Amino acid sequence: MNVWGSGYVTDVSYVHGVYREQTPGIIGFTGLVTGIATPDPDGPLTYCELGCGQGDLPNLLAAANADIEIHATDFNPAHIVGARSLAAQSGAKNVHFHDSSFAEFAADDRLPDFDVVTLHGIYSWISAENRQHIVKFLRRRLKPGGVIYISYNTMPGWATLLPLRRLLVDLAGGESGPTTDRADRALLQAQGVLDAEAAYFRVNPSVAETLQLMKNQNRNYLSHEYLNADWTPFYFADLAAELSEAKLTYLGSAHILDNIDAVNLSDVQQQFLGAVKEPIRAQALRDYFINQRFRRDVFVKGAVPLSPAAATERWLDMRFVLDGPRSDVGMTIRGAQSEVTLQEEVYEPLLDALAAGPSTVREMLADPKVDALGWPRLQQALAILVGSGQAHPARAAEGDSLRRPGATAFNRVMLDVARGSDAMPFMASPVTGGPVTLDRVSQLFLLATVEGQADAPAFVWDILKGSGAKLMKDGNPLEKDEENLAELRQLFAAFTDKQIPRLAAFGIVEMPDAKVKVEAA
Amino acid sequence: MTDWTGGYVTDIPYTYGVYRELFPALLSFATLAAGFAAPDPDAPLTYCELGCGQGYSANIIAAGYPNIEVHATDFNPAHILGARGLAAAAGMRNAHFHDSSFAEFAVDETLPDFDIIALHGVYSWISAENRRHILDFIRQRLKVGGLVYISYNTLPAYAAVLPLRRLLADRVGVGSGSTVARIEQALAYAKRLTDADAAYFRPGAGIPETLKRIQDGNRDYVAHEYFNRDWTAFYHADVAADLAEAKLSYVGPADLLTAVDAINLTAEQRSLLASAGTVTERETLRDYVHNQGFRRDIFIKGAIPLNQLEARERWLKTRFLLTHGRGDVPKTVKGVLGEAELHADVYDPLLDRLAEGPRTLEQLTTDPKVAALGWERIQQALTILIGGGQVQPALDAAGDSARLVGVSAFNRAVLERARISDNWRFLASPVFGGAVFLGRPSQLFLLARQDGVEDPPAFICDMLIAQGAALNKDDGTRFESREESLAELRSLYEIFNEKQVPLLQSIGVA
Repeated sequence: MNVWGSGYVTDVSYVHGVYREQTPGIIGFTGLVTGIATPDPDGPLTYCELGCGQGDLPNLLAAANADIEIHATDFNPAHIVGARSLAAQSGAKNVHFHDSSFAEFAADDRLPDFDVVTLHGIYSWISAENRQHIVKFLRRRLKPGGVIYISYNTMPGWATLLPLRRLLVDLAGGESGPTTDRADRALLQAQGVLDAEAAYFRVNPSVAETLQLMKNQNRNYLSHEYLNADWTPFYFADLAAELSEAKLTYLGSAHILDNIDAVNLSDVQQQFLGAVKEPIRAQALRDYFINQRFRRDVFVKGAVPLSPAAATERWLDMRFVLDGPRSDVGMTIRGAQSEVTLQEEVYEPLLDALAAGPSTVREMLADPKVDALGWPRLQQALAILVGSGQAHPARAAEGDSLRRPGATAFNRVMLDVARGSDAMPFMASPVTGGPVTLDRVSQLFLLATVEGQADAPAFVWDILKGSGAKLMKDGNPLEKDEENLAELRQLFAAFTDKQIPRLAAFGIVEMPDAKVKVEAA
Repeated sequence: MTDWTGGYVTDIPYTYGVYRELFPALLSFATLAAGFAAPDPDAPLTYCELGCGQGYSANIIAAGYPNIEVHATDFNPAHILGARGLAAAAGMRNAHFHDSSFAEFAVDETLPDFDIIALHGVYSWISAENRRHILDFIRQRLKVGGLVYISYNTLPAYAAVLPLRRLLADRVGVGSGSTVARIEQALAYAKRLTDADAAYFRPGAGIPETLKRIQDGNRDYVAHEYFNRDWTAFYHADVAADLAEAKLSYVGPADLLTAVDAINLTAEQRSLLASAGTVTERETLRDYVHNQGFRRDIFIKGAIPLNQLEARERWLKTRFLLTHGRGDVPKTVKGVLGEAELHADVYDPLLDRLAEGPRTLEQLTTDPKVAALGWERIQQALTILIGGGQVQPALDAAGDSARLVGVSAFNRAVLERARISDNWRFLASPVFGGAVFLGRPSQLFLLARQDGVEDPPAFICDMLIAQGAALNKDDGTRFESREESLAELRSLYEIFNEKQVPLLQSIGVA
């Protein structure tokens, strides 16, 4: 293990990935849902990601938000080299990558003060000393009124799994060689312990299930999640206490549904929780109610409640975009403990309004049926649509054209990446300023369109075949060229039918009338 | 809460429990059974118990081992006052009780170096800082070749319960009233969460069962186990790493049944453990396989494996004492795998000889039927009998009469206390230096017998009545009339004379 890694897995690059919860749009919406002031997502912002991995998120944010100045750090120089190269390719000038340790970053005097700081998972994967550096950094560099997004492994949900993680580390530690090989061998040996009917696995059947799942998981992810020397799941109260040293107060969950008790808790549980006045205690208790394993929290430096007038104003100006065709919106959503069915009569008018394209609450209210819903129902319905991932908060429409060139350039790079691999299945939306998921095949269809290919399915099959990929149908790989091509033709029809309008709503393609015109760099 | 406590529950005295694993002869035998040399319990030794609670075990050790200077510390002065009182009443000069914190104890220059340092449960109930003080103390004060007995709550078994422990400790912190009252409030709160169908409390991971066990448990014990501010369950590997800094190596378990693979591990599990590259890895695998919540470990500073001849020599010289009636020895033993039968052809020859009185293995093997069993079966049988508590490793017969003097004085002091309290339920044995459980009525019978009282049941009956106390029936209700009480005492006295007196005589207590 490298000395500079201080026990952190460094010979395995972290998986590419972007999380919507880290975007200023979602963080700002969290404040709106919980009624606490956050930095205006539509103002110019300074943004920082700690432990940025491959830097996909800061690159995407920078591309889609020309008015946000972004800094990001990761102590693995290989990550930073990759991140800078992506920035250079997409031409973003407003993103700055650092290969600093958290100690160095906390002491770096050239950095600006920040409105938004995010860290995903990192806090559970580093030493107590590094956590102290992060708290110091937040105390020093986060502006008053600034917000952080912090996600981490949580107790009590992790309790029974802790020993599995420890067993894997112990077993992997005894082996030499690259981390992913060690992960393989550790999994194999843990299986040996399971096969010997060890009581630990017997009394915790869910742990045995987890071990089976892990065997099929990406080794890079597993290495980072399980094989770091430091690995700490937190009780919410402990985490809140550490962050209080940086003068931070809990604001709400960036996993928006978490803020809506009706979706997650039984009546009895809601009453129980309603009697708890102290917010930290309430959150801690809630974690026992749902046996929480992972939290996605927003904290604020100086929690100021939004005045009713200000809240109303922000809601009215808030623009939303529907993620996909109106007909695909699911009316059943998953809460923390059970499924919840949405009431048609509440959602119909909203979805009808949004189906026409991104629109603000003010615009939606022009429809008397929306107006008739009343403010609380309207707010909760929008929060649930966002929380279930079926809609996204968007930035103000005036800025769309300013944000579009950067996003387009970034997206062109994504399409080129898709030629070689499925490592980056996402695009940047100038409408939300955040990520939009898009699978590799759809990315390649889009590439075909951009390049004006006459036969998109054939073009895509050439690329897939060249990179040794095959399509899957009903869980089996398609072996013959004709089979793959036929499948691609079907997929292309669906792409034209559903993806193009979806991408158009996100501002990723333009769709004047029926003719698709793709934004090309 | 007072501030010298460091967050430790102090307004509830810890139980007057006695733990046999704390005793030098048992520790020595367990070490021998693991194939290593331990300090000789018949030689002049220094012994130290850290976190001695009421000091009952330490007092019995001092009584049973006049050859050992016993030091014991507990930061709760109420505990130490009581312990010193008993030592003084027994006239013991080799028991030294300190009310030091571990920090103070670690820098106390007046202490000797120790052959044995024991700590029961304590390591799990104190802060990381106090654990460091203990490690400092062990590093400085344990002699080369010295032994540490350390027991602690263990992972992975405790993992699922950690959040419950945390919840209870948090609730006690915000409750009001005495510790006892706050514990009840915390338990009621946890019950409400269960009733509200909180996902963490749902069946599957054993949480409702654990909560019920705590609710039904002895509050004195529960207070210390679940409501201290500091509470840590350990992986064996982490404790071993801590103690490695004090140059200690793990040798084996003090609870001997754990050492018998045949009753605890399937063939597949045995081969899994055999595949371990290191002792630590082997013990780690054992803990995942057994999933037991508590370990009782023996560590040695400078562990030298005994060669076969040395080990054999020590086994042969060890004296064994049957502490149960011959007919009361169970025919089965419970291991992790379930009940295992103790085969009569192996156990009968051994038990027949031991029923005649304490015997060394050398003496036992003069019986051809015992000798015919062969070395391995004899070793395993004695290990199981000791692990099950029916047999005790005894001390050298040459010291019996010397030990009897101190033991008699000590037991007399305990019996005197039985007049007014039923807290002290153990006597010392001069044969094995250990503790013998004896309930209050039996203690009072023994007292009356020693004093030549004419009608012991009547004497005790009138004593209890004078105190306003009464005997309880099996269903927990009181015997109301003197006649009823007396009749009950007479029947108890009969059992005492028939069964207990012969046994107490055989172990040198009566």
